[in-house]
Amino acid sequence: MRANILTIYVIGVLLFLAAPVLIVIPSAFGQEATLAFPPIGFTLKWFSNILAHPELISAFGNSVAIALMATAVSLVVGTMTVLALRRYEFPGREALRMLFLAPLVCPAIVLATAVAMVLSPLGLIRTFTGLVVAHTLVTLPYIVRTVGASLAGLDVALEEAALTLGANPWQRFRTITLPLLGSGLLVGATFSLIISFDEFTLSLFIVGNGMMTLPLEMFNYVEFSIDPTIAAVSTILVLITTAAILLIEKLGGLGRQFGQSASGGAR
Amino acid sequence: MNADMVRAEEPVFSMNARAAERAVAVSLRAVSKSYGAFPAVAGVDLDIAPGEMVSLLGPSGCGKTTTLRMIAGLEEADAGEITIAGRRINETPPWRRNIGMVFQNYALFPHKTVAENIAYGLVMRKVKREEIARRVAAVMAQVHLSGLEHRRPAQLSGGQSQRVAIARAIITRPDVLLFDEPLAALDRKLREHMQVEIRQLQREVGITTIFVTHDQEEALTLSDRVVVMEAGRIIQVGRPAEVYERPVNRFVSDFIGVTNAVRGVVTTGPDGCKSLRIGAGTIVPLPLHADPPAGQKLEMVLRPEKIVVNGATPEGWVSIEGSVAHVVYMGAVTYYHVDIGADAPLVAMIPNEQTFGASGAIPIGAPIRLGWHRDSAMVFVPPDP
Repeated sequence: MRANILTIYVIGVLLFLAAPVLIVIPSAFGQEATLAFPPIGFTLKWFSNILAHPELISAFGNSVAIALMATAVSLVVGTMTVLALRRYEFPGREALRMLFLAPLVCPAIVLATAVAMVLSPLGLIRTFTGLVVAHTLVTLPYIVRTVGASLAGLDVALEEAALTLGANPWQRFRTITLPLLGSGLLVGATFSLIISFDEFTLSLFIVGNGMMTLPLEMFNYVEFSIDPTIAAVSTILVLITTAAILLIEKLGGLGRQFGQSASGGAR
Repeated sequence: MNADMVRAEEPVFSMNARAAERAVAVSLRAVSKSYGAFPAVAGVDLDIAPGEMVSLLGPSGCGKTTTLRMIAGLEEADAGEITIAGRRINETPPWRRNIGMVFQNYALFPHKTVAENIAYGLVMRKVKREEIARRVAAVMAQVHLSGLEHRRPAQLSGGQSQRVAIARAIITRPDVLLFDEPLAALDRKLREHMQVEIRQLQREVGITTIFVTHDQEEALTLSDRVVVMEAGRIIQVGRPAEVYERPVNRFVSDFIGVTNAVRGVVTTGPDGCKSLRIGAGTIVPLPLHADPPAGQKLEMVLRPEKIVVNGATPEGWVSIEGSVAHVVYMGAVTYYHVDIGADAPLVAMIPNEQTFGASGAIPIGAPIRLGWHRDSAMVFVPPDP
């Protein structure tokens, strides 16, 4: 009896968590011209209708390009940051570490206002560069977190061993540090891509005619029409995100294995 | 040490003196290093001959690891000069020093196979692929690792990891091989086995080796010379037997081996020789070479195995009566803690063949006679209590 109540409770929670996805995906296949659940009939026309909206396609292209650029910049800057935070001891090191994570806890609207105030006089509003700069600000903490965690599990003696064996600092980084940070970098990059792709508030202050991101273009779209096209776009996004999460899971497992073997040789 | 001997015996041939000077593999001159206000290493001078195996021995915080890391280039010396093969290397980065180092937890690269780990130094030196393969196979055979080429470090036992670490360090034929307490993580049996193996390999390869340890037995077992360090300074350098038999002070005698120490006041004994009056009137003759002024407070130090129990005490031997206070049976030997009226009991180590095992043990409270050759004892001025 108690087991049954527990089962019902668990199923209820899972349904609540999955409800948006469970509703939006079937809606994308309904024949009615308004978003409705449950959908009536079955059609793929809303997916082909996406192609009739070039603004959605170009926004998608912008979002992908911005996410890739912001992630690339974050990977380089973030990795250099955590290496420096680890290697050098200086006053205010912990404060600096917190500063790099600050965008995670800062309310998005505050951050957005501040970023807009900085980018505007620089003429970066409504530009690709401006969006990359803003997105880097929110993706960098994820890289600092994941790569920092990988680095914390990396025994300093491994890097020292490389030096004594004749590796110069660059060779050491390429052959030892980077491969051992690999899983952290991949997980961080995946997070960063999703965060950037999904970013709404910051983008809202920067986008404009000719430079839209997909979430904002979708928002525009539903302001005027609520046909299932938007559900079709959402379905595609859900698929992409799910694939990314599965990838993180797989790499996370790999990461744990690396963590074990990194110290496993010792004891 | 060797260099000094050559110079002392053959002072006529200046050629030999110069050869002796060249024959220094590693030298430290007034090397110092501080961390903030804490002096980790305070003026260390040391010459190590080619092919010699020297251990740096001392308690944690004595500066032995810092000294080793300065030779490796992983720490920078604040002052002084470090040379390897006659070249000053203070400003040389570690990757150009041609050293080999075995780390405390081996520091094997977890993402590389055993063979890749061992080959690493040669790959960094851009040695040709075929030669790398040949040398990796040779060194793996030498350290009994053949067949484990494709294993990952996580799949190795402690002893195997140790061998990989050593193979990786020696394959580049370094000028000096550095060990940073590499056996600390192993259990006792394996540790003793690896000590023998390391020593044999070191003789075979003939590589100059510096070995850091806080384990005095390990230092005695492994080294040509032992360097005893305390608080950033070298206290004594000598062959294992020298530092054990003739420690220069109480610190060394305490740190290396088990030691008895009893305090007393110097008097002139019945035979006219200097003696020590301890506790309630017990008179203990001092070594003949010791000639302290009467009335001085001294500490006599004596190794437990130098003492015989209820045995003959011929000419030159000290004989003292006491009573057994405590008996510790250790299998091969028995320790008798004997009350002789001093501030601390004297501990005598008796091989069990002498007492025919436990059945022959002398019971607690029984009278016992201790004897030792008077020159086995050492005397030190005690630190002020």
